[in-house]
Amino acid sequence: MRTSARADAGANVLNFPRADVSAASGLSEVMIRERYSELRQQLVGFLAYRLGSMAEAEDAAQTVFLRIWERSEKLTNENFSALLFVAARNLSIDLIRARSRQAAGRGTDEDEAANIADSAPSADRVLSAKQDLLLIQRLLAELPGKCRKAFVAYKFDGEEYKDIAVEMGVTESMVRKYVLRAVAHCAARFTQLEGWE
Amino acid sequence: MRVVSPSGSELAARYALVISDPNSPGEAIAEAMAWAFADQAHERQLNEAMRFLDKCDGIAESIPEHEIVAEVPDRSGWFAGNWKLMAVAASFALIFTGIGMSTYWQKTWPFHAPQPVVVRNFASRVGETRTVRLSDRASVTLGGDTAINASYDDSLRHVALVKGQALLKLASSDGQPITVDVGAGALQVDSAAFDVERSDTGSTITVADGMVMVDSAAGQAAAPLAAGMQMTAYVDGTFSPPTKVNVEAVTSWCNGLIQFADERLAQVVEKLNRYSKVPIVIAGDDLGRERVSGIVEANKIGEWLSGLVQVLDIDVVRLHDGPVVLRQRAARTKPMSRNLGEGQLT
Repeated sequence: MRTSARADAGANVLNFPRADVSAASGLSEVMIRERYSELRQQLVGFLAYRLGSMAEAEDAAQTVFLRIWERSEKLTNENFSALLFVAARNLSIDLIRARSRQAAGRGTDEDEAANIADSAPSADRVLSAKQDLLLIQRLLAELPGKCRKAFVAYKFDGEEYKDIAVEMGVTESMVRKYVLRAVAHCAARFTQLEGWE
Repeated sequence: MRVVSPSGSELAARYALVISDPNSPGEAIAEAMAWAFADQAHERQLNEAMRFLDKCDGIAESIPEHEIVAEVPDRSGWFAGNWKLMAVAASFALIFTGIGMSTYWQKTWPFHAPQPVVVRNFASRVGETRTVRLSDRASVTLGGDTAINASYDDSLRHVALVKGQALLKLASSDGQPITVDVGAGALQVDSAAFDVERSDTGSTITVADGMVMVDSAAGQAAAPLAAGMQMTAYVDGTFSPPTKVNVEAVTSWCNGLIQFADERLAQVVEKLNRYSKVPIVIAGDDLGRERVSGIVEANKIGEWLSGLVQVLDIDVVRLHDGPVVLRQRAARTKPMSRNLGEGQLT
């Protein structure tokens, strides 16, 4: 078992007693730290995308390192990045769920109505979303019908690729292509047009 | 087999979908982030794609599902939607309350023109001239037997002259040019008043005020057309050179006068048929190529045709309950004509 770790704020890498890094690990402590350092910026970037906050991403990156360290016996040079990002992905899911639970569960039972009101989006946020909706609606209208249908089913209806494929009578691979083309087109146009709104 | 590498934007889209998918394998995420950090342009493209996906998520989180529901028709024809798409029903309801709307796709041109979600159709009967308001900054006067449609998202975006002749007064409300499909080409309009007449051979544009950019359907570079100038965009993709014209004469149909100068009889008859309740046909291509000039009152076409007999060597024959036929006169000792009178053709 690992002893407790001490965060090294300067290096942003956790220091562990050498004795805990046994021959059971595929990578030495030095190698784990080196690989982590190489990928840290990308890791934080990924977490920032997922969590929407750089500060949260920095904190989460530390937690990710702890998690992969606890499974360091499985780490090899070949799978390090994949396992690092699996850990990051899973952590981001956990944090997002916790955030939702926290927002929904604020207050006592007596304040349940207030809780529901608190967890509703603010008026500003709704207004902003409606403005985005106008623009995105225009962009979707620029798409070929199948691309639009596939993207809306995936992104707004929450359907999985395989279910969309069945509905549309095409392969799952084709649905992925439709969605990809939709995102490629709309992303560039969104940036282009947003300045006009 | 030639393999086409995906573009940067396609890769960014692919990787953005990977990053936002909670089920993505670690290898895919690692590949995505490695790509993003390999080049600043990659990072920028990925940020664009992620931002767009985040905006979609924001909409889904903030707007009640029933407000997001709408039917956006498919390009190919009528859309009988069983599935939800987005619309801003409330905004359109404010604008279009009380106005009948149809929502169907028109095949529009050019390809890059935005595809709006609400289409309004307007048409005039043979012999009718009417003016309709398209927005607070746009109106159109329809000549006889004319049809247009106007397409909107949050503003007027696109007007198509389906047939006939119209005088359009358009001004963009948000700085984005309005596209006007005239059949053989398209116009980009910020603010202008212009006449468009559509025929089988092409579309003639006459600018009364302002300026328009004229694109041909064949994709030639846009040509500007200023006030007082006229140009024809032909169906083969070519343009006539711009010429100076008498705009008042061109648009006099708005006041019930149809004017033409040195035009082919076939073309003149096409104009007149928009006002003549009895169709006029020309027997023989040669006669159709005869050139004529004149001013015709829209409600006195029969009189004009009677006069035409004196000018051209033709007969004007009214078939029983059928059209009026203009035909080259057979060899006779004296001309034969029918006085069609004022009321017979209008």
